[in-house]
Amino acid sequence: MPYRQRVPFTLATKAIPPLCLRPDNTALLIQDMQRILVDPEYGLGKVANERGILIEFDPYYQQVEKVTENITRLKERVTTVGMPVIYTRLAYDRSQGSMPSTFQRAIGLAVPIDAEGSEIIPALAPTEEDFIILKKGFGGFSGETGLNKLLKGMGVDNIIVTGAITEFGVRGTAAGAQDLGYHPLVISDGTASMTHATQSRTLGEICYGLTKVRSTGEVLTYLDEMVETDGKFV
Amino acid sequence: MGVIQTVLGPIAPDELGPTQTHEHVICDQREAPRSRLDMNTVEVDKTYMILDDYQRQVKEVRDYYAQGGRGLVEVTTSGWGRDVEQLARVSQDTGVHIVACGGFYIEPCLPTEVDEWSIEEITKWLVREITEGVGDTGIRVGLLKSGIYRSRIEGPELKGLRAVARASVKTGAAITTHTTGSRRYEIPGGNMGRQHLRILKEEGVSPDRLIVGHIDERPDVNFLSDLAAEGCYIQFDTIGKPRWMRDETRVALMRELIRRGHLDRILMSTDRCRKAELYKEMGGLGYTHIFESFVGTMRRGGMAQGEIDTILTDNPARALTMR
Repeated sequence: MPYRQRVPFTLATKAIPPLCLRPDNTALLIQDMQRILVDPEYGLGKVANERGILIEFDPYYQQVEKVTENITRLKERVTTVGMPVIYTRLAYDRSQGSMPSTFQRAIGLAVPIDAEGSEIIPALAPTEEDFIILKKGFGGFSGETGLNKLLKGMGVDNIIVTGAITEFGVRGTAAGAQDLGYHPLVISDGTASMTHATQSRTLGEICYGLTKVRSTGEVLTYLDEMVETDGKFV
Repeated sequence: MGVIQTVLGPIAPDELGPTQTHEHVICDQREAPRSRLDMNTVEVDKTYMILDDYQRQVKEVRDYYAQGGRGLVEVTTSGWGRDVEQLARVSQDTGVHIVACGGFYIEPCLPTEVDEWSIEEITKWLVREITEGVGDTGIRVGLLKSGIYRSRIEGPELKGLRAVARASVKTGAAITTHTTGSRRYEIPGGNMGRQHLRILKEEGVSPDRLIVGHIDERPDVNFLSDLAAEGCYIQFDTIGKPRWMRDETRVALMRELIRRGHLDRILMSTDRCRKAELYKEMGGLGYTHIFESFVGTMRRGGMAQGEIDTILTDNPARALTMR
């Protein structure tokens, strides 16, 4: 992923400290891969289609296709080494007495947990072992999502961040993770953005001395090496 | 039969030729009486609407002519550097029919007369610019403008709009509109067409006198199609500005409007108002983007030459003809 924008600030910051990937200190986060956000027939794509501007989203849905494949590969690999997989969903649960948040009402795309289109896309359907966090804002940690508590309980330090949408929720999750002392590792070809340019720009900005950005291929290699050694420094 | 009123005098509608209906040739935002422009920026040519180099503007309009442009609507209004005498000279020097604009841009650029005068007095002034000329120049404007700065029409902008509407009723001039970019996300449908139409109807203006501007910045084809069905013109006027959308999407929207029977309501322009948008050495596209690029995008998108001609030539002629 080329970062075409010059960011002098990063010339003066400390080097990003290494993180150590181990099965017991790392989790894979799959953010908001729900139909309303990544299937052109639902939610975002449906609204765009009704307004006559669906092709404006072509670069996004093209990325989503690749991202879905890459998340599938990552999920298979992390599962075999025993790392937990956590999904987030932009949704609210009426049965828990939960209402849509102000943010969800504002964007007009949030739906109840059991509504059509709210579900994770079938290609990435969660299993019984996976964890699912409902969230009410952009980032995985925004509001009272329970993500921080879950990660603390698991003893997780590192979060492999995948999903959608890079410049909104993914960026929010990476920033939230940093604020809380986690080490986010954002997957460049495992996250989808509205355009190719915003993907490049956001990933360029997201790493300002704090967040690591790696490709799916690189992380799969790390995971292989992690198994061979006792933890892989990245 | 009605005429189109250019800065060099009236012409018959079929004399106009291919026309971009929302451009700027001579403007200077620094002259706006109420704006507090911060000129202490490193990017003046990108930030501010200033086109003040006469010779360069003649070159740009000549390039437009060379590519096939024959008519151009200059939508700079009184209050931020409109200069109809310079426009008349540009027209003479280039051979392009230029239609100048009366009425008002957004509140920061409103001339102080709007505050001081009654709606009737403002109307009289606007009518005089159409029937006799601007000041003592004898150069007449050919349409009127209403710019809206916020997500509602209120205050001095509403006062100005009512005068514009009444002047349009008296003269048959069309009304072209502006919606300010930063507010577009706050407006259902993405532009002020609906609100404009409501007030214009109250004043007795026929919907086919309304040219809804800046529709291709946050569009909803259903909203646009409803306005077109009422008779309003739908103006794609930020063609070539990729920050709003891809040109291919503009073509997709046009095709859907055509499919719904609104070919005769579509207008096109590029709204060049900053040096950095115009001058090619600064990354601009000249006034020629439609001829040099967008017409090709339309063809590749499946539009017929007859449709392109209608949008570029027939529709502007009809919209600009004084009723």
